[in-house]
Amino acid sequence: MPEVRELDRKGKELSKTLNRIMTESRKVLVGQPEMIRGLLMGLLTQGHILIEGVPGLAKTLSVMTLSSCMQAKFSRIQFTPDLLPSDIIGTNIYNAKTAEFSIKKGPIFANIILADEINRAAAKVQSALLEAMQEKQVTIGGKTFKLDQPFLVLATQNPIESEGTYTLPEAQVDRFMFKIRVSYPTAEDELEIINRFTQGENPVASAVCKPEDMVMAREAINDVFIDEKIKRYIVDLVFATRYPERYGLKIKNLIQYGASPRASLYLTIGSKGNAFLEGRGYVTPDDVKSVAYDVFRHRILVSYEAEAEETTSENIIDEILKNIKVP
Amino acid sequence: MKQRIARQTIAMLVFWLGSVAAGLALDEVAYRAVMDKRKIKLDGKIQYMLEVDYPIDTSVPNITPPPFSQFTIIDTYKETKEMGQGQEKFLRLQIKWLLEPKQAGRIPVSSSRLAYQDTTSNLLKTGMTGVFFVEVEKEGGKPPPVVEKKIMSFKGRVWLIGVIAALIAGLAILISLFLLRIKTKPSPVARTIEHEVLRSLEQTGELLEQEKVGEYYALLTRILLEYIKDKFGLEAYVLSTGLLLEKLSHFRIPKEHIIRLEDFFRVADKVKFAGHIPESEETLRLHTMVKDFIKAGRAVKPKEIGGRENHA
Repeated sequence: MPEVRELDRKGKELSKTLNRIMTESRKVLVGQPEMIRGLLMGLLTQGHILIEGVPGLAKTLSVMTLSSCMQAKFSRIQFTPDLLPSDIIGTNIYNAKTAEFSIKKGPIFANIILADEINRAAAKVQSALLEAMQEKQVTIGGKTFKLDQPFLVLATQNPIESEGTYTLPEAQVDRFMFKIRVSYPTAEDELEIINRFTQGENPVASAVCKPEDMVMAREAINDVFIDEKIKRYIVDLVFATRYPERYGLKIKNLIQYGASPRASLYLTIGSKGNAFLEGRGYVTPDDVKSVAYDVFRHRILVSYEAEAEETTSENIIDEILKNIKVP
Repeated sequence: MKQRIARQTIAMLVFWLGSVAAGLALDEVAYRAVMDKRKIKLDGKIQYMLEVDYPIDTSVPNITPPPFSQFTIIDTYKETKEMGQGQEKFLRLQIKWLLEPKQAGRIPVSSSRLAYQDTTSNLLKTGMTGVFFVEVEKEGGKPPPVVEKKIMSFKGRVWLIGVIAALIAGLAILISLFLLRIKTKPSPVARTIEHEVLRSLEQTGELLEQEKVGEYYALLTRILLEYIKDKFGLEAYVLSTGLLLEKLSHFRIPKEHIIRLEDFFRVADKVKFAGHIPESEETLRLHTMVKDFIKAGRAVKPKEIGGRENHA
């Protein structure tokens, strides 16, 4: 049993840094609190994030702002059909002067990477990126390079243009910890965007921490205590997506495939991250619930019947969270 | 041609009418029925007589008398006499029935039927008498004897008036007490739920005495969640703490109680999910908070819950 008071103290202290990042990023970004929170969670838990939203919703700006706040190295890769794996990872370049091969590192060598419209590149390019995400290292010309820490990949998908795209296979999508859905800002936020970005000089976020602070915070998250009852609750939630009838849920016909074991892992890690952001040294069911949508959204495959009824994976998550007893 | 047909038709008609008239005039059998009274008492008697005159050389006509179903036949008398002189001699049959009515009222006596062979025309003839109605009055006819009613007198029974007055007064007191009780009776929800929950809270103290802090907080949380579920109709066991408090804030509960409740759940979560053991002072403070919240819940009426639930 951990010393909860010590964890609470540590959590509160480190979460202050994170709160500073959030406050600073709000100087530039208008609205989208879920996206900012999701990005921070990704950084804290070493999970990668898939963002789905139409163009112009400040996805790139959010990532750039976050990088500025933590003085992190940022790369943006625009995925196109003619992109090659070496364009991401890097390659061996022959230097005619020295008659030697030298390694040219790709844009993946950064703390925060924005893979814009990931579904526009061919499968082999997607695969190269996803492997790097998983292994946290890349091999160029037989030489293995560890990726910088912290390392966060944010991949975006445009839900409205599907022509000439290579849809990410379910197995690849499963590697993303969260799938965040970005929606249009509210009328008030839109008005604020006009006021903020039409005055000549655009606002800029200042650096409030270093990448090392984030690595330290990560270590602290590992110490966040999660009780057996909470773990059991997580397992119940995941199992309810696979065998809803065992939990008295009549949604079996709406689910083609339930969530994978990665969902259990990411729910646990995400809950810890959420508790940490709240300044707590232990996880409560509220933490699990707050990350459940982002973890399950892309892991529950809805059936044809559900699609016909216009039932989304969010509706199924709603039903599960409402009916599974909280410990 | 037409005139000829008309003459023949008239001749035939005249012949037919003549024959009928001759038949009637020359009818060999005469008959009549007579009743001696038309109005009798129920216990009285009446006589029905059928008289048939028929030629000596003919057979006795076949007679079917009325059924006399509503009478009791006391006696029957039958007599045949030779009447007239010379060639005009004939036989007179007289049949008399002495009858006694079975019931009062207007009783019908149906006709008697006759059938005989007419010697002149050699035809079988039939006949029937008329129908009579007899008024039968009820027996006696005197008015019923007047029974003199005894009127109760209170004279000399003053004590009885006193007893009745006391009974009425007692009944009035009982009714007023009943009505008063209905008025002052608290609503079942307010009386039962809060009362029961507060009583349950008192019992949790035993766990603290036994230093079972974890069990104590678990029980206190369960009691509280059960109360919220019953009182406010919220899925307290399913909702997360944050969502539960948010929903509770829609009810007419003072804000400070919601904030204190949040404090309680935070500590209870820490005890439940992080093995935290709070100081005894803190436990006592939280216990009082929970009590206050439940007491504040009394102000929320069941009607309000129904209405508010739509928003919650």
